[in-house]
Amino acid sequence: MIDFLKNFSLRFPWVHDFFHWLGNNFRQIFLDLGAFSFFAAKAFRWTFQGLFHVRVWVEQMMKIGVSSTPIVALVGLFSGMVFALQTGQAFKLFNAESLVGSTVGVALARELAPVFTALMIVARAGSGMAAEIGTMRVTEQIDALESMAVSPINYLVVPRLWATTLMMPLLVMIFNGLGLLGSYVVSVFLLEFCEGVYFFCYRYIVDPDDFYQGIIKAVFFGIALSLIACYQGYSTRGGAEGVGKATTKAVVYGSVCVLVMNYFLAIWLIEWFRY
Amino acid sequence: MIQLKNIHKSFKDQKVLNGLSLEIPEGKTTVILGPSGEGKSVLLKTILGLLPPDEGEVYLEGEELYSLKERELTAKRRLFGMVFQNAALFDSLNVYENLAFPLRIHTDFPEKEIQAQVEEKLAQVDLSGRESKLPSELSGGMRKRVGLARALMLRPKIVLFDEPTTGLDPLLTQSIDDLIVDTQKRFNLTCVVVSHDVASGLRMAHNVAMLKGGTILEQGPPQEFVKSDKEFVKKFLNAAAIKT
Repeated sequence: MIDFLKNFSLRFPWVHDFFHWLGNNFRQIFLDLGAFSFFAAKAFRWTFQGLFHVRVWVEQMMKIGVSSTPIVALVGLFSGMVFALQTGQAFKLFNAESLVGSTVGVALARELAPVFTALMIVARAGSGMAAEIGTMRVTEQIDALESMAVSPINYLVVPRLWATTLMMPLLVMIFNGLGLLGSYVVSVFLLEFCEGVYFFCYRYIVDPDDFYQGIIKAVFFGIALSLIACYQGYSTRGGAEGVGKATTKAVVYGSVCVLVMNYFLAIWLIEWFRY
Repeated sequence: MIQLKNIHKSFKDQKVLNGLSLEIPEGKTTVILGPSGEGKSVLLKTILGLLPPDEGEVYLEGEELYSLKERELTAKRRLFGMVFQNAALFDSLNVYENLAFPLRIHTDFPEKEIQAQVEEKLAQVDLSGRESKLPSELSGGMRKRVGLARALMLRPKIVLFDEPTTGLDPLLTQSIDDLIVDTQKRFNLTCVVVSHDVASGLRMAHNVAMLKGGTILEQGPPQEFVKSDKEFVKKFLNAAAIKT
């Protein structure tokens, strides 16, 4: 068998090269996943055993939460408006305009608010985290922290991880509120649907459970996107180019992770809240 | 005392440290000379517990550093201060905040005490009145001096210097050398300096070692070191115009 494989790879070197390339890539993926898992485990461990840097926590909550509020509110408002506009046009075809408010409400609470908010935070705060930590890495500021007996995981990663996780549900609720306002404005003032029916159907169909689903998703997204951004920054190599690559990876991996996680969380949460 | 035993360290296929053994005496300045790219900074980071060797042991006060748990190792680093090649000051903090940082983390001093200590250290490095400057507003020499002041804030026993005089003019080099010698004497510190600046290294050393090929090629007090019969050491000293 081994001889056969040897002869085969000698006769068809491109097959050998292809499997070599494939194997190397798989190996690298597993190595990266392993390194990321260790990093995440360290971040959770340092949460409980390290010092509590109040000033850094507050600073990060300001950066991630308060500073992101205007952009999240704006995106929420326009998402609600456009969603109401499109569903309103479609529902009008079979006289179901009364369901616009509830459709937008459910979609916002369960899917749009957590996913869009997470994507905004990945782009705004995640890229910033990766660039900031990456720059600290390449200019030896992280080594300087360690030389001062300060754990960089405890000082840099833990506050960012939990600030994002705490701020995400709040931002999601702001998104929900502004989205609902946008959909109300478009439905009632632009499409001239009945205001009373809009709110009646909204209250009848949208449950607190829908909001809980969105909030649970927001917590998971917050953990994932902050860990990915911090990990990319923390493992930066090289100079300015390395920081650029880390920032790009933080945004791309963070966004993809949010979208993929969203599907699996949706499956789990639908089952969970059914009973 | 710091003891390095049979240290090996590679990065991918590149062997940087190759069976290096060295004893660093307490309360003295040890200068490690060597050409660029020989692994001098890697050696410093290994001593500090930042870069685990692939093989070998690092003993600090009789305890093997890399057998300690992460938390214990972090605590052990309080014995060290390190001055980085480019100072590695936190660029978002001003000079005052940079110097106050280790005190805020590790002590419960009130702000008045912190302020007094920061002012004292800044005066020692001749930078009084620069508290509000950002690192980007300082010259290379000033940044190094702030780096030194920050490294001394927690009163360490051991101070590591990574190329402290690289890129500085001769006068500034001399003043940094004097500062290192003064600081070492005043606080009876164990100093480890890595450099490729031979004249500067010989000026401040009690003990000199030459790093070549990932191992210590020669070591001894400066007077003996310059008389080394090792071909590479002779060549290195001649290139730096040092009489052997």
